[in-house]
Amino acid sequence: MSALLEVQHITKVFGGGLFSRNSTTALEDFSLAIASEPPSITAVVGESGSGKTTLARILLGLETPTEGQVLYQGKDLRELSTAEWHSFRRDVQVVFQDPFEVYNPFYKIDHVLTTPIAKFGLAKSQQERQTLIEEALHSVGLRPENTLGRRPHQLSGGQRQRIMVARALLLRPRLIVADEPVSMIDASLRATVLGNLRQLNEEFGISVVYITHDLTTAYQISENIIVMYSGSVAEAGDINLVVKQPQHPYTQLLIGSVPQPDPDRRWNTEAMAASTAATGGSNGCKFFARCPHAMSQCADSAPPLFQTDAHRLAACYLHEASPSLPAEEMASLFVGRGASANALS
Amino acid sequence: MTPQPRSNGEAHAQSAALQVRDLRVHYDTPSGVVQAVDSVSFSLKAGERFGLVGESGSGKTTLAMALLRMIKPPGQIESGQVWLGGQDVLALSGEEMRKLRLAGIALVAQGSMNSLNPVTRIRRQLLDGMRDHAATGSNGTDNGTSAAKMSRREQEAYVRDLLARVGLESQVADMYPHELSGGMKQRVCIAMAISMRPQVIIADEPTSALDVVVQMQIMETLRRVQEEVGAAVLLVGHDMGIMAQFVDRVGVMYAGKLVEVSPVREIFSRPLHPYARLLIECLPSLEVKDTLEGIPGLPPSLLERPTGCLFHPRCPHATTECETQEQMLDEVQPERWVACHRLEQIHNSPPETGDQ
Repeated sequence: MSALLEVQHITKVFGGGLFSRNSTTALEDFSLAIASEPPSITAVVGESGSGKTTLARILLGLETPTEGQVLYQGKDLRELSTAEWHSFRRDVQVVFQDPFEVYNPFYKIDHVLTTPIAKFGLAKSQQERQTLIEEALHSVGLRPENTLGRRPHQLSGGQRQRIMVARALLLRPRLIVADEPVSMIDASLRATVLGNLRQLNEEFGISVVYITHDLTTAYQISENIIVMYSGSVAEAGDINLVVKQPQHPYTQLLIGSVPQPDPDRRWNTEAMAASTAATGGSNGCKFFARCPHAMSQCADSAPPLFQTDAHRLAACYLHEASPSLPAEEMASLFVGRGASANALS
Repeated sequence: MTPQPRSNGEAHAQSAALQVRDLRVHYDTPSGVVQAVDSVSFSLKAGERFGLVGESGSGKTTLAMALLRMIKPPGQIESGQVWLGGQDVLALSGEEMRKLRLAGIALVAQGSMNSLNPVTRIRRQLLDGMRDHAATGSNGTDNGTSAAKMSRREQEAYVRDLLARVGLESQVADMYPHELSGGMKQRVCIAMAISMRPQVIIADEPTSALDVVVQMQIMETLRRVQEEVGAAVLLVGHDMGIMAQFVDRVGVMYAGKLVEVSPVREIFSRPLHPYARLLIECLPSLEVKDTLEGIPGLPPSLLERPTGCLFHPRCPHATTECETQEQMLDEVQPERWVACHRLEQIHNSPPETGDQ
C-alpha cells in the first residue's frame, strides 16, 4: 500500500491548557489514506464545527495532531528531511475558502503565480516562466491577456479562485486540498471552478480532497465521500450510494435539508423537530441528542464503522448486523474513478 | 382610506404591500457614475414572498437598501417611487422614515447575526428597537406594541412570545449573543424584525453563512412567522435552491435591471429570459451528474454598461437588434414579465433541455 498522504488515528484537541478547563475536540480518532494511484476526488462533508477544516490543515502540515500520525509517502511529517519537506510542500497544494483574503491587494495577481515558480525553481528564463503561467491560466479557462497585470480587486471571486487553482497547478502537485473553494463565490460561477478541479483530476492525474458543507457540489465532482459529524466519521464510501440511499440518520438529515431548485420538491421539514435540539455531550454516539432513531446503546458507547455495502461504511447501531471495520481501512473500500456508477444496483 | 399611488392604477394596487415604480439608484464614484438600480418596478402583494436573485454586483442589495432609504453617499436615490401601503416612502422626512423602519418595513440583513450588540442581553436588544421605532405608528398598523407604554410584566411576556415564535426558549432573553449559535442569533434577528409586525420584511441573504440544516430551519421559521404576522417578504439572494423552496414569485436582476419576473413554478419549469434560463441550468443537482458549466462571460462593469440589452454580450441568442435596442419589461404571458427581444424566436424552437 503506497499512500501518498495518510493520517492515522489522529485526534486534535484545541484549548484545554493549564489555565483553561474548556477544550474542544475537533477531530477524534480519524484515519484516512489518499493513495497516489489512481487519482481520486474525495469529498469531506460536514457542518461547521465538524472538524473538516482542521482535517485540511492537518493534511497540509499547518497543524500538528494532538495524537496520531500524518504520513507522507509512509514517513511521519515530523521526521521529514529538508529535501522531503520541500517535495511535500510541492506535492500537496491548497485552495483556500476565501478568494478575497489570500491576495495581497498591493501586488498584481502575477505575484501569486511567479512566487511558486521562483521558490521551486520551475523556470530557467523569463520566457519559460511566462509560458508556464500562461499554460496554467489556460488550463483553468482564463485568458492571460485579460488576467495578468491586474490587481485582485479588478477580478471577480470566481476568477480569483481559478487563479488559485492555476497556482496550485503550476507546481504539478499530486494532491490538492480544496477547503470550501466555492462557498464564497456566486452560484453561477461555482460550476466553472468545480469544473476546473475535476479537469485537473482527469487531465493531470491530481487527486483532490474536496472539503465542503455543500452536498450537491460534492456529489457533482467526487467519487467518494466522508460525512463528518462532530469530529468523527458518520458515513463514508461511494458517493452515489451515500447520496441516493443514505444510511446514517445524520446523512439523511443533511440530504433532506438541501434546497432543491424545484418548487415541487420540498425540503424535508420533518427533520426540523429532531434537529433543533442542542448537542448532547456523552460517551456515546455524538449524534445521539439529535437522532430520531436514538436507542439506549447509542448513549453508552460510540458506534464503530459498520460495513453495510461493498463500498460504504456507516457509524450507526442501526446497521449493527453488518461487520465492523477498523477506521484506518476505510479508504480501502473507496471506489475508483468511473466505477462508482456500477456500485448502485 | 389608503391613498392610491398617483401613477398607473394596477389591478392589485389595493392589496399591494409594497410598490416600486421606476426606481433608479446610482453611486457617484471617482471613475464615473455607477447605475446600480435602473428603472426597476415591481410590487409585493400583502403576505407574498418575493425573491430577488442575481449575481454579485447585480444591484439586488442596493435595491433592498433603497427601499429602506438606507443608501449612503456616494449612493443616491435618483428617481422613482416606493409606496409602502399608502405611504410614499421617498417623500417622508428623515425622522418619519426612521420610525417607519422596523415598524413598517424591517430588515434581516446578510450576516445580521454579527450585528447584535455583543455586550447587551437579547431581551434589551429586542425591546430597544420597539422603544425607539414605536410612537408614531405606521398607517393603521398600530399594534399596541410600544415598549415604552408597556409594564415590566407586559414586556417580559412580549419578549417570551417573540422568542417562542422563532423557536427559542425564554432563557435566551437573558443571554448575550456569544452564548448563542449562528442559527440562534439569526432567529433573534428574525424575532426583532417581526417585533412590530411590519408589512414588509426584507431578508438579504439571511442564511448565507449557515449550514444547510440550520438554513432550512431558519427559512422555515421565517416562513412561519411571516405567515402569522401577515408580512410580505422580499428575499434577496443568489441561491436558486432557496428561492425554489421559499418564494411565490421570482424577480431576476441583471446589471441593475429586472429581466424577468415570474411565478416560481413557471420560472423553474420554463424560464423565459435567456439569463434566467442559464442561471437555472447552471445549478448543480443531487439527481444527475452533469457537465459543470457556469454562465459564459462575466457580469458587465456598471461603469461601462453595454448598449442595448445589457445581457447581449453573454447571450447565446443575441442579434444586432439586441446590441442597439433596449428592451423594457413586458407582460408576455399572464403574470410573466420578461425583457427580451428574441423571446418568440427562442421559445418557438423546441427547448433544448426540459425542467430539471
